[in-house]
Amino acid sequence: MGSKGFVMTLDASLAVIIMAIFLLSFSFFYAQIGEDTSSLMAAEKQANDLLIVMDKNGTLATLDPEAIDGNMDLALHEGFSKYLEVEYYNYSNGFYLAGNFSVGSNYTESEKTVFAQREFLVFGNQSIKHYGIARLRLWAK
Amino acid sequence: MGKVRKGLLFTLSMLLLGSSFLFLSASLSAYSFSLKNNAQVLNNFEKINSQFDGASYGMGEIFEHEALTITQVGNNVHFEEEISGFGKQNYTRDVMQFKQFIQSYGRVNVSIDDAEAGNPKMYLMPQNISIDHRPGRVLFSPQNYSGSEKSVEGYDILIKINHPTPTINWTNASEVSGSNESALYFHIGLQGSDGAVSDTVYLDRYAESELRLLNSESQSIVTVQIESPATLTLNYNVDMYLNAVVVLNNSIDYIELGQDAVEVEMGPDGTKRGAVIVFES
Repeated sequence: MGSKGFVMTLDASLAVIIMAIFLLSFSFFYAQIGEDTSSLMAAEKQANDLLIVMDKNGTLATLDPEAIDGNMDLALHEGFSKYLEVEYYNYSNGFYLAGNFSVGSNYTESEKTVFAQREFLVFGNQSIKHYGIARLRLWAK
Repeated sequence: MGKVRKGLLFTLSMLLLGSSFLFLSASLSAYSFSLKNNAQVLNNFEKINSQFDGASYGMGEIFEHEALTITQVGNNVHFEEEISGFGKQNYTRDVMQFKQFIQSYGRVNVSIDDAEAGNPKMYLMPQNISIDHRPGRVLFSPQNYSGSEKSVEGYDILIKINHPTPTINWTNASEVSGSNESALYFHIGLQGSDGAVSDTVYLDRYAESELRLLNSESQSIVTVQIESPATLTLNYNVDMYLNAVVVLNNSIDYIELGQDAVEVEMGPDGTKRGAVIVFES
C-alpha cells in the first residue's frame, strides 16, 4: 500500500512538472507568434512613400503647413494618425536652423509609431535656398 | 492488460501529445521569427532605397535648377547653358553643401562622388559619350570603345556673347568630304554684339583640327579642338550662352550624372550604389 502511494505521488509530481514545462514553453512560443509586424511595416512603407511623393510633387518645398497637411490628408489611410515635423536650414559656414513647424496630432511615447524621414531642397533664384528635413510619425487611431 | 501497463501507456500518450503540441508551437514560433527577421531585412532595404532616392533626387534637382537644360530632338541631344570662365561655381558649391547636409542629417550613411557629379560630368548612354565641364572648358568625349565614337555624326555649336563679334580662324582643319566614312559634321554659329559668324565643315573624326574665334586684338576668346576619336573640346575665356548639340546616329536612352555617383551603406544590411539619372528619353 505504502509503495503504491509513493508511485502515485511521484507520477502526479512528474505530471505537474511536465505540464508546467509545456505550459511555460507554449506560452513563450505563443507570445512570439502573436507579435504581428506586418501592419507596422506597411505603415512605415506608407510613411516613406508619402514623404517621397510630397518631395517630388513640390509640396514639402512650399514650407506651407496647410498645404502639406492637406496633401497628407488626401494620401493617408483614414486609420492612421500623423505627426509631421519640418525643419529647414540655411548654410553659412555650416548649417543653422532657419525655421521649423509641425502638423498633425501630438503623440505620446506609449503610442506604437512608425517613423520616416526625408531630406529635401528648397530652391530660389537658381540656387538652394533651404535644406529641409521632414520627419513623419504614423500610428493607428 | 494490467493497470500499471495501462497507466504507462496513458502517460506515454499524453507525453507524446504534449510534445507534439510543443513541437508545433516551436515550429510556428521559428517560422514567425523568420518572418519577422525577413520583415526587418525588408524594412532596412526600404530605408536604404528611400535614402538613396532622396540623395539621387536631390542631386538631380540641383542639376536641373543650376547646371544646364537637356532636350532631345530626334537623335540630336541639346545642352543649353549659361557658362562663365570660372566654371559652374554655384552648382559645384551647392553639390558640396548638399553632400555635407545629407551626410550630417541622413538616417543612413551616404557618399556622393562629387569629383565627377560636381563638375558636372555626364554620360550619354548607351553610347557612353562623356560631357565634362571644367572652368573654361567643355569636353565632349566618346569613351573610345566599339561603336562609341562612330555613334557621333557631328556637333552643332551655337554661342552668344556680349562682346564684339569675333572672326573665325582655322589654325588646322582636317577636312574630308561628307561621304567619307570618317567624316564628322561640324557647325559653329556665334552671335556677338555686332553681328553673327558661322561655318560648316566635315572634319576627319580621327585627325586633329582647331578653330579659334579671335577678337579685334587677335586674341582667342573661344577655341574649338577636334581630336581622335570624334572628341570635341571647347575652351573659352568669356561668359557665354552655349547651345551644344551632339548629333548621333541613334537615340540615347538616358544621361547619367557622374558614374554611380551615389552610394548608401547600412552596415551588414546592405549597400546600394547607383546612378543619378538627369535625363531619360
